[in-house]
Amino acid sequence: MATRPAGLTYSVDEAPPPWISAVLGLQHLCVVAISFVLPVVVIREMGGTHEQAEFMVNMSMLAAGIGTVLQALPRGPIGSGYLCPMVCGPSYLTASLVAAQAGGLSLVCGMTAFAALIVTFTSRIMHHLRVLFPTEVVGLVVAMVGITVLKLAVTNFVGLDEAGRVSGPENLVVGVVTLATICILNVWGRGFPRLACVVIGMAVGYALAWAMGLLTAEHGAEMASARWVAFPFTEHPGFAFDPGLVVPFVVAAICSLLKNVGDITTCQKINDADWQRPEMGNISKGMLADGLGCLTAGLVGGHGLSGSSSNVGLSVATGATSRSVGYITGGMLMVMAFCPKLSAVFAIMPGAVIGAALLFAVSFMVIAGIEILASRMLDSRKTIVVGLSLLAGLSVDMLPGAVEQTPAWAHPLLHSSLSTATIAVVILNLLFRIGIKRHAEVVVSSEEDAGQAVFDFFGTHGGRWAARRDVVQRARSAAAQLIEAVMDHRLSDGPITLDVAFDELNLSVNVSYNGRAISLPERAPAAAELLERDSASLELAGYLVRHYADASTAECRDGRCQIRLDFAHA
Amino acid sequence: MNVTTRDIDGTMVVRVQGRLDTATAPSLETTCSELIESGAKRIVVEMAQLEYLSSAGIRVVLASAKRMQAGGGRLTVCGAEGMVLEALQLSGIPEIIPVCPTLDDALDEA
Repeated sequence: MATRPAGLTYSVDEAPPPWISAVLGLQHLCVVAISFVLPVVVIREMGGTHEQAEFMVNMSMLAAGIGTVLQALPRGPIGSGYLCPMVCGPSYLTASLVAAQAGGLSLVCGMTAFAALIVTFTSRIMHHLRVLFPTEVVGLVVAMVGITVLKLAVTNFVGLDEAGRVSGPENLVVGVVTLATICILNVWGRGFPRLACVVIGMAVGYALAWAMGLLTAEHGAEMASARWVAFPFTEHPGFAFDPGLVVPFVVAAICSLLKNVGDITTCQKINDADWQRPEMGNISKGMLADGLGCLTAGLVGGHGLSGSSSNVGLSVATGATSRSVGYITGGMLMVMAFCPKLSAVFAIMPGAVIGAALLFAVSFMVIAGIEILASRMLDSRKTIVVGLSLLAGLSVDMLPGAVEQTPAWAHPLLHSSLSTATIAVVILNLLFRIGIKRHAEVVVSSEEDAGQAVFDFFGTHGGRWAARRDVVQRARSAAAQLIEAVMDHRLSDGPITLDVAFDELNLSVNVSYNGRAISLPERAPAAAELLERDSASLELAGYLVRHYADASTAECRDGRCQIRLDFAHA
Repeated sequence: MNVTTRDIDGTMVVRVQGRLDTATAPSLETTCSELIESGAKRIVVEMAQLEYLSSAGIRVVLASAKRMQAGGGRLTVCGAEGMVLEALQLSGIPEIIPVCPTLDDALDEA
């Protein structure tokens, strides 16, 4: 059961009043809208028409709306239940560009649907893939997601043109005023101004951009000429598949997958004051919603989608994580998909306003990633894994010339700091797991204080292995209770062996002895029975042991009894 | 385990520190028995500094509470956190003995 963080104005289960929900939904829509520049870039690079761009943007909106609603569903097999809107995923951009140039929009649709199927399938086997993304890997990916967006944010914020020159002071002024408005309202604002700081700041940015000539009558005419209602399904380009593009789209799916793990982990963390570790069942359902949202995009003709880290950052910043805002944001996106006039408001968004909103949201995302990283004790192995991967990712942005000189087959792997860091951290994490398993053993005899022996044993090895304190305490209590019960009820004929193994993901406790079996019942005896029958005390002991462990097995063969208790340590 | 006793306005507060299991439970049992025999009508067992509570410890707390009830007195538990509180809840103790979050709450209850 999650503990509500005190700093939230509206937690995930709380529904704000309708008009506040509408403003919050609009605010998230503003941030989501920024990502719709990606399908425009894809169409522009393949030499497509304005109508094709409008079609792909509208279909991306429709799919993002459906995916956002699916993600917010709190019950059933689909959806994490969190406010985590879907956007056009940057991790799909490079692969989509290659597909668009090689086979047009039909190939983009087909390959996007293929990548989405990978994400959807992977969501069903997430529990078996836990080894791939321990907490420190997730933390790095979350931080890198923010860092990856930095280039886009700063380019827009200062108004850099294609040659890398600042286009003029007006852009910077609009960006600084927009960002300052957002930050001032967020830090010193109370109530509604704080909740709606981004949408208010962006409105100020639009007005200032109009006053300074960044928005012109031409932009107004563009909005005026847009249709109120349009149903563009008849323009669907069809589907195509190219085996040669499997690798870049698989890489895109993996990056999107890990990014989504990071996003949902962040959602779990910001909605639970007592958060300890990623909850894999919830992540699996969230991944399924992401996969289905992206699959919808591929089928209807949109850009590849993934969860929006910027929006998660926005919900942290405003203190409103209500899932009802997710429903409203999703609904707004679906309406906008059929209303080009509304989407045109976002289409003319000044670059400086885009940059300011992104910088604000991304700063929270980067810090969220660092916090997840800092929640684990980083020994030299983890430091090498995380540190080298971080540097590998940053080097892509700092030394773009070096990446250009790599073989063509490597470009999909190195196209962004996010993909490079993600691939590096996954490979290094697996590599450095070699020889990671450690174990220790102690034999406890009936003459000694069993509880003290177990406490001393875990005190020594838990600290030496840098295992999480809460997991060690749980394992220690289970082992002490088990051995105490076996001795008290004379189930063992001799000494009891306690063997503990630890491999970063799991702490397993094995207790073995010669004698009679102990049962680990699913139900506790009634408390009143504890004084009435001696066996009730043994039943309570077995029940406590079973409850403390995440998984347990007990068996006796030829008089040798073995009890194994597993404790997750992600 | 360390067991200390103090009198707060007629209520005997028994503070237990460390582990309360088979090896240490007799110490608490003896302390409670002496208090009951000396006529104490209200006992609070303070578990704020208890690291571990086993089924044997739970049994002793329950037995002491029953003896108190039989003599017209009352035993209350307070301050339990983390796994100690979890053990109390899993064993169903709060249905029989009042379990309070703090010592002040327990003194009000007692």
